[in-house]
Amino acid sequence: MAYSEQVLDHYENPRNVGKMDEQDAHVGTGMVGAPACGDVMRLQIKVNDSGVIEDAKFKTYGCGSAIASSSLVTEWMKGMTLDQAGEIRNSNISEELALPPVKIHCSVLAEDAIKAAIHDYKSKQ
Amino acid sequence: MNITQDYFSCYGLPCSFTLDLVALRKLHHRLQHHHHPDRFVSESDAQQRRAVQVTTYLNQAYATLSEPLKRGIYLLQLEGMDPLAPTNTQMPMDFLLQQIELRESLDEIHLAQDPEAKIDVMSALLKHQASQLEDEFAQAYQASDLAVAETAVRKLQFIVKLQQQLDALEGVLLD
Repeated sequence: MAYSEQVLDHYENPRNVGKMDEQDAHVGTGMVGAPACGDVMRLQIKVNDSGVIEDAKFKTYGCGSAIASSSLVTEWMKGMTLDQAGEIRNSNISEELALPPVKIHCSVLAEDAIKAAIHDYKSKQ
Repeated sequence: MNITQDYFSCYGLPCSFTLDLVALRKLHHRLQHHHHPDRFVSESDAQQRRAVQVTTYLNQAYATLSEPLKRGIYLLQLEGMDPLAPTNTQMPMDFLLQQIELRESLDEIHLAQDPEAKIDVMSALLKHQASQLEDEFAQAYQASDLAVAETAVRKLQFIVKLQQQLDALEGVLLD
């Protein structure tokens, strides 16, 4: 199966790969997994006092589409409020990356990782 | 042979995760022999087609029941569940953390001085985890605790995938 140019770009030059301190009260960590393909995704956000996401990092073990989906959302989320980030839907991701139907679950994984990171951040406040 | 019945029934076995694999293989070979298309070459087209259908069904049944992971998934599917649904991404946090650690070490194996030893260590760990999860599934399924059984089989799917990646790496590094 051929990957779209958008996927290849994020796959070859992933943005914001890394790890933040999970104990930091400003950091929210979301971890999700897709058993069907064995993908594991960790997404972290750093939120400032006015509720804006200042930074985002990810580490994904999975296929190119899963890596591209998480790379893309870390770019999108920077500068967003938590509410705005919470409105990102998997359809936005799959549309931007031109994901084929069999890879839609990769964008679902990214959407769920965002929700989990926001939930983790809020539970710390 | 009714090819719409569940895979356990076709061997006359009760639906259970615990299975005597040697007995299953014998049962399978007996049925396979009995329904083999070669025995129907002088019969009607319809009967020959039927023999092919039955053989295909039996092969699927055996492939499903003889693998613990596939057997577990199948047992839950018989209960109307879909343990590998792509929309279900929630896994226990400690399990995902451990998965990330294991994948990090997998990525670093090729840098090790003795990659084969590292591969052996990880392989032993994965086998141990798989067998624990199989026990967990068997007990939960027996007790009709299907939610616990589902989590166990979902975890097992990650472990089996990781084992496949490890085998692939071993092939690349040691051949």
